[in-house]
Amino acid sequence: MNDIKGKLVELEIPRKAEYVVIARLVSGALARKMMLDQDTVDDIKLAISESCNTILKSPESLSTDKISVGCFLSEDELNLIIRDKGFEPKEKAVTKMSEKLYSPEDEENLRVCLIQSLVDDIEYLSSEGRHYIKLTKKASTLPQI
Amino acid sequence: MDLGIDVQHQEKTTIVNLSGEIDVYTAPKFKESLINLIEEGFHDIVVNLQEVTFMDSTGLGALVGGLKRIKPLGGSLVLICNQDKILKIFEITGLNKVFPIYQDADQAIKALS
Repeated sequence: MNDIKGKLVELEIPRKAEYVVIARLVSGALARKMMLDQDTVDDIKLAISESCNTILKSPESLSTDKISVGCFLSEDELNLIIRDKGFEPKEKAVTKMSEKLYSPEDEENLRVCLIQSLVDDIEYLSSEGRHYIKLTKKASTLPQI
Repeated sequence: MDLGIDVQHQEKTTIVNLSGEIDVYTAPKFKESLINLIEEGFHDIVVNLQEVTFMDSTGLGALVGGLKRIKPLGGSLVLICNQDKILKIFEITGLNKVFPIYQDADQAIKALS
């Protein structure tokens, strides 16, 4: 991997559907800068999109009006952090995004199924309408061009 | 990125040509188009995804919603898709077993006739 390791790149978008495309565009550009192959770039964009959808689809209670989308590349892994702006989980995030039995008729199920297949690890915490989602791809599963 | 929706009626088949991105912002527009077509009596529908550059679960949800409405009416909803990155999400979710997916329009229309 290349010279953009070790720095968190974070974008804030308004908590509105029409801005999710911006998160995809930026994460796609970052993934290309990391010299990842096109399939992986597409996976990252989809994972970011689905994570934003998870936040947007939830009821707004204590959530802010912004979503933060962050990318952090280290020697060992790529972390994608998507959360209600400023929300830091106080406890270890749970890993299960959905306890429901899988049914392809349920859009939430589809979303969770897709995210789980695109990354190696998921941390997810939802508290009082606020969300923190951390997706991890190990370096060994990041093919480069 | 906006979503283009172009509807063509060919004899008994309606082809919905989509272009652009189907996501949380544009999927409702697609869903509404599908529902309107079904309510207007068009029950044999081909959705062409060949010009779709991105699709996520919201797009899948719109398709599933259309299928759930059309099936009880004895209709069919099939897809045209030959892009690996779009086919992938159908495979991951198992929806490739729910929707007939064809490589081109000729195959899709032939399947419905």
